[in-house]
Amino acid sequence: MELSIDRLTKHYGRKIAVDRVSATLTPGVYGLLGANGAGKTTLMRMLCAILEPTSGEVRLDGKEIAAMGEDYRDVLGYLPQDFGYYPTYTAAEFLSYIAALKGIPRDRADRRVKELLGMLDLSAVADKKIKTFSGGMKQRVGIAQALLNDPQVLILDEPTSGLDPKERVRLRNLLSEYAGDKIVILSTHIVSDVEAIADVVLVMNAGRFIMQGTVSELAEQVRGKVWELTVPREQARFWQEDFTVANYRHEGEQVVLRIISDEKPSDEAVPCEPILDDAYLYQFGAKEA
Amino acid sequence: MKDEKLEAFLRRRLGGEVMSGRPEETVELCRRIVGERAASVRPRQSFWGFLSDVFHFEGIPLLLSQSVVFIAACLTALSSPTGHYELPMYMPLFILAVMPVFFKGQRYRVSEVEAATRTSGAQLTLARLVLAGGGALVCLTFLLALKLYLQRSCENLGRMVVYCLVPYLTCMTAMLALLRRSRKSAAPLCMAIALGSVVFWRLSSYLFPWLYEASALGVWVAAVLFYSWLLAKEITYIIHANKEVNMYGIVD
Repeated sequence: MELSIDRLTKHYGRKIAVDRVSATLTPGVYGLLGANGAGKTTLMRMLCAILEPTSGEVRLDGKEIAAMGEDYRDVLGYLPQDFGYYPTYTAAEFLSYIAALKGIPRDRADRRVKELLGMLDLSAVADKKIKTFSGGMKQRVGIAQALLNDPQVLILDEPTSGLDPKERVRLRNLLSEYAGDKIVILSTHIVSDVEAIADVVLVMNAGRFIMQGTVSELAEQVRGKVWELTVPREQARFWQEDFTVANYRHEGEQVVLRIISDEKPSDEAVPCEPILDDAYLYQFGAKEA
Repeated sequence: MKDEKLEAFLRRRLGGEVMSGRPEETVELCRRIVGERAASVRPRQSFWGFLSDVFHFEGIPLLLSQSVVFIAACLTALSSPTGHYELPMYMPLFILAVMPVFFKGQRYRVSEVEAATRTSGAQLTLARLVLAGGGALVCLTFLLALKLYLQRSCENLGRMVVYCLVPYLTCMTAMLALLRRSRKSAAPLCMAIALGSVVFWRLSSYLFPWLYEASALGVWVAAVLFYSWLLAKEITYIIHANKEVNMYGIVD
């Protein structure tokens, strides 16, 4: 299976939200990383065929998704950024409703709904109205509805927002397990989520992919540019003003700064192992990121 | 295998399992894989099966709200057994009654999820349209039957039918046109059109008494034909939108 994106572009009047983006996606987990307004949601909506591109096309196994119609939607699972729900429906009812829209026969839908409620730890609240749920529980209902039809292409826009750390870890494991022979695309601005599960990271800025590669490949790009420097607490502000500081850790009266810089910032600075966060901050700078 | 491209493709897909020296076995392996894939394809739900599912979730509120309008129309008919000027006034109310179901995806921000499902916003709208139209047809039939019973005559049946159809078709076409244009302001606009129609038809017998004279029947019939044509165009658009990946409905 191959999802190819060819010079996909979206304009809103004069504003370019997505600018000639191209990529070829094969089964695996893809992390779409970028600041708010980078064009992630617009791109995902076009990949879901719910937003018409200004130009360019998306093909699944060589067939243009615009021409595939319900055959494409049949293999698609989508969690939008702003996941809405019907407040009068219980979790089980809402999932059954979406299963009906996905064309799953009722007996199969009932089994799948139960299975997903269990998988996402919602069985105990299956018959409670969604409006009574916490943000994390609502988000899990959203993830469950995306998985109902066992999609070959799963697109999740900010799936970890509203989830507590335990839930985030569970979701990461679930997605890693689910991916297998499927294409999973998830967007986030939380680098650690992508770092943990993405096979390939696509970094977006101003509607374009500015970096793409595996986590280690991207981290490798900033090798020799990440430094640790221990300074007195009162000097920390000076370093933050002049350099991109990725981390700030107190150690007694001293502060250990993780600085990203092309040049060695000080004779006392020691090089350290780069991570994806560093590559991201190197591209965007601490303030923009 | 003579076709090198095919062999390369199979090698890439099947790895070491391609046996270029034994084409029969490779063909058999491909057959098995294709068969497994075909078996895993889910049977498609027919439109009528889907309609039954939509009725399961949305049928009751849809029919209940139309029943309320129907009862109000029946009470008016009972209070004025011989007049039929009040009939057009109730027809936009049938549209107003079903509006919450048509616009609920937008109101609760579920339309994006609905649009990405196999049935899409278009087929969902079509199913709702069938249910709402069916409900309205039943209500209208009983309402006209009641009027005929009260009048003890079938003389004005044709006139009463067109009096009901024109405002109903006008408002239904307006609602579908607004949904097609995918504007966020569609719901309030649709509500304004339906309420405006109620007021217009309520006053029409005072403002335009000639409209209810027998000689004006041609105007009504022409209006029925015109709005039926517009409605048919909207429905055709929905059917085409469902077959392709065309956006239909409102996605915020």
